[in-house]
Amino acid sequence: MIGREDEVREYRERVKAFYYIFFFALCLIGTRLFYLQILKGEDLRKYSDGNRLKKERLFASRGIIYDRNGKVIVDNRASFDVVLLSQYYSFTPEANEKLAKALEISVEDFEKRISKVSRAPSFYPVLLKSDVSKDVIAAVEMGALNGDFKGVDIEANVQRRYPMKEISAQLLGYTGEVDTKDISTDPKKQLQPGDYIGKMGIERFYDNYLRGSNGVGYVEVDATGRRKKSEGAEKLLGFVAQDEPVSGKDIYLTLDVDLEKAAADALKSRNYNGSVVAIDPRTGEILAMVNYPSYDPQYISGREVTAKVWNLLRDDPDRPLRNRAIQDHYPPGSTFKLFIALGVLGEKKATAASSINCPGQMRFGKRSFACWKRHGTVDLIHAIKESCDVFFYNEGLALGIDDIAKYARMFGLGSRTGLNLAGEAKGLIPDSKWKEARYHEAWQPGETLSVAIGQGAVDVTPIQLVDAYAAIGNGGFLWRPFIVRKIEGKNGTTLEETKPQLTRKIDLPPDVFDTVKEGLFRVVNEPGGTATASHSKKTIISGKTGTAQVRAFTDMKHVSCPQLEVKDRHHGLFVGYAPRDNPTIAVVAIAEHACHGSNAAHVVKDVIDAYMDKQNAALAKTESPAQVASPVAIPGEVVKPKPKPVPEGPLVIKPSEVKPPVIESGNDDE
Amino acid sequence: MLKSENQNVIKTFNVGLVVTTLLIFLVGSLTLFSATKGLGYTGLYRAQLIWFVLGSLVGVGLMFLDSQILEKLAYPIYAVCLVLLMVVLVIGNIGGGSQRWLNLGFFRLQPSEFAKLAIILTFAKYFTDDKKGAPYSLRRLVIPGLILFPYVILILKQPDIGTAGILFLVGASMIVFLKVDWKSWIIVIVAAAVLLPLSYKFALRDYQRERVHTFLDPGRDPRGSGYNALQCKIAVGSGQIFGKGFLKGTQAQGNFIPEQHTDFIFSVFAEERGFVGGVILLLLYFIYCVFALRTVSRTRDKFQMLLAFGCTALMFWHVFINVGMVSGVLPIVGVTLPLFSYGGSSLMTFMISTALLLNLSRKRYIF
Repeated sequence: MIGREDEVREYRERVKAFYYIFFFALCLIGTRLFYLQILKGEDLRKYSDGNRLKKERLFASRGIIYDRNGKVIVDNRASFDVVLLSQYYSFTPEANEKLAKALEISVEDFEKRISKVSRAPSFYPVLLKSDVSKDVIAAVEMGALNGDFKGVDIEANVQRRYPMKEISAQLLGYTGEVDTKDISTDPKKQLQPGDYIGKMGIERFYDNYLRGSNGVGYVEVDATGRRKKSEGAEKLLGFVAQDEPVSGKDIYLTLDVDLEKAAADALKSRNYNGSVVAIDPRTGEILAMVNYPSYDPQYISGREVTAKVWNLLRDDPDRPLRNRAIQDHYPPGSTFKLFIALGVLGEKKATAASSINCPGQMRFGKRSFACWKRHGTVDLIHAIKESCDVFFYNEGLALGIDDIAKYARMFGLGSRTGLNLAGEAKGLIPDSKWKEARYHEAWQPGETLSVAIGQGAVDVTPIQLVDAYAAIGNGGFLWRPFIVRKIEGKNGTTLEETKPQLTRKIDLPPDVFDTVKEGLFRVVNEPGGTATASHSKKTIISGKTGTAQVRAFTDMKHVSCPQLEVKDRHHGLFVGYAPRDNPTIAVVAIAEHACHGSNAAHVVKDVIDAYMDKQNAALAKTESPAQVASPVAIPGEVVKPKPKPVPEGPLVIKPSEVKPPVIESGNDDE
Repeated sequence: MLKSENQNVIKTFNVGLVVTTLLIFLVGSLTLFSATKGLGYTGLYRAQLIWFVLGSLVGVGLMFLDSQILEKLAYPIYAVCLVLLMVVLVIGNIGGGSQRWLNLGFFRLQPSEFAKLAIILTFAKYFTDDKKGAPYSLRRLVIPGLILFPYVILILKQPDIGTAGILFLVGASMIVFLKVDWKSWIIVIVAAAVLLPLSYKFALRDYQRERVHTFLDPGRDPRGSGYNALQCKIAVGSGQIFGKGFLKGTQAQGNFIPEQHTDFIFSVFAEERGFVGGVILLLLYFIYCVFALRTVSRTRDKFQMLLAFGCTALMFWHVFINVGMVSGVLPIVGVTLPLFSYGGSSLMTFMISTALLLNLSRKRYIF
């Protein structure tokens, strides 16, 4: 025995006291249960049966996207969804039929939707139909008043609105419900099923800013699961607590809505698929980025995107979801000749006066390389103006493939420009090392000839091309293009602001730039240039045409392009800037299957003219002191919410399907 | 000889305690099934059964362990648990806003649960070795205080105010059981009156303070921590006299109460079984305590007695605080309902403490 005998005996006596202490304490708890369950039981039972406070997510409203002038590009609108709580719903055929009628859907469709409901937990509201019209809301409310539709409720939601519709759809992106992968990879660890995030473009890249964070609220629901409108809960229980949602941040883009529309019109009115990008050569700001074919993001941003709609977009052979301007690459065609010119001048292998006789073709080895025309004797400036192939075959050979690649890369071709958007393509500028690594073969001089006129393995993205030409226009400043100007908190505080960022200053003598710029000037502004039809009365456009082959030239030597089937026609390219000196805008246009670069030049001219009109108008306004331009849009121009919540119009917008592309000029293969 | 010993084992086996434990667990399992059905995961119910089987195996092993071995191991166990509590603070997984678990791959160990047993063992050992015996003055309680202090601090840091409170209450119960002199009682009562408001102001975290506020006045709650208390009250009260029936609790099946399968499981039971069920469950816990206290008075030495009393106090305080908070008379702190709440570590703790009681109730016949 350890411990004192008398002590232990005393404790044994004391144990008896604890029987009473424990009994008394548990009686206290029992009394409380008596109070709650018997005295208050009836009230609380009524509460649990009929009136309930339910914890619910309050969705944060997503940040708004504005253009450079403060015009709304993407915002939110209220939408109404019909949901069902299965624990209250009767699931009888009569009820199904009535409800299907109210929702304006077929009974079969309704039954398909409702099969989802029975799998979900009984207390979880399941979406029946999203974004319903006022008529449906009225029908459901009426039914509820009559006591039909037990468990059916209408939920107010926020829906993303894209007033620009298909214009810049790929750039802006769309929003969608999160999937399990999004939830597990969320850096903020806040996502829950049912949340919405950006899925593409700016919506995706800047999702962390746009998203905001959801709050929690307590809603009172009645015995049929519907939200109660009365204030009863607050009164009986003393409070309704909630955690306010925090709205997302607003984003101001460098885009100009008017220029976007002009660019879209320029392509659409000529039935061209393709891409237009406009940037400011002084900063690298992207002023416009438009792609066709396109789609209306409204259809895939809702709560209820059908697989049919989605597959239609995803599987379309013309790939309307792709942002061609940054994700696709094209052979640059003759627009590439400029880098040969810059190369031979920079390496002092030629001067502005160097001339070559063009007999309309050139024999190299056993092959004959054609020029699109017999140019006779041409110097460098003329060769640019008339896009003489023979001249650049010779200069390309003189420069050599590795120096060609060096100059092309100097201007940013063949590498990502680094703008803040996902999925930018690199393109390709081949050289002898690349050939060795890729094919384990030595570079053939014959290949240099193809590369010299922008064919062969050369591939560039539209954004690279316009950035490179902007650098030619501004005398060697290669900017990193950007699209987001600033990010703003809800109270108007600037959270982040993008400063122009120089990728590199291209160190070439000024006279080199002057020489090639003279050539680019003459392309548009001197008789005999390849794009004289696009001469502008509003400003001086300089630029270069190009033609990207869809099929090899040899296959159709004797057939002129417009006679080919549309799918086999060449793509037309034009890239240029305006005005001639100290340019304020640089634009590239790819007009798919337009046969000739001069057709793309019309597109570029429209965009530049629209830009100059706007600049001049703004200038006129600031000059007259009576009308000070307001930074926000003119009231009449602000896009008002549509009276009908259901989006209308086609899903995919394909200009070329309406009519074949317009071929205005350039019957030659250039 | 062999025959009579076997007879003794059967005769001395504390059948009452075993039956009470099994009954409580059975009712608890059914309630857990109901609570997790609303949440949509029934895997937890199965996991709990597996833990019960594991706990039974450990318990059977402990039943045949000589209490002298436990007495020798008391201080080493204290040290190991202390280290685990420190480790959990450093590398423990974040769970439910606080740091309580150690991830061991196959399960997440909650050292603070086992700390309760470690404190009971250590106190039993310390007071057994203290030959001067009762009554204790405050001065002589400094060392027990120093034993308890690191545990309480480490657990408060997690922060887990419920478990820290249980440790303190169980330790204090053992001391009160041993007898404290009347002068010390007066000092403690006065000190508590002064220190409680101060600790409220300086020692509590915001959310803990919020809970105290909510408890005192649910109406002023701005952030929704009163939501749980309120929904619990509705659930318990709406059970009325006979309850809504198994799986028919609308509060439980509607998933209105967060954590309804762990700390708030009594609300599910009270909603389904009503006042009658609630009283019967409280009686079952009381019967458990009666069997446990009978074991205390039949032990053969001071260590066994203190160990048995500690285990009894642990059960009592858990039930009292848990049911008290669910029915709205005590503030909401994280304290499980023994043998009822989901959670391997908690279930294990009570299986072990029951096994210890069974072990100690056997002892007097063997010697």
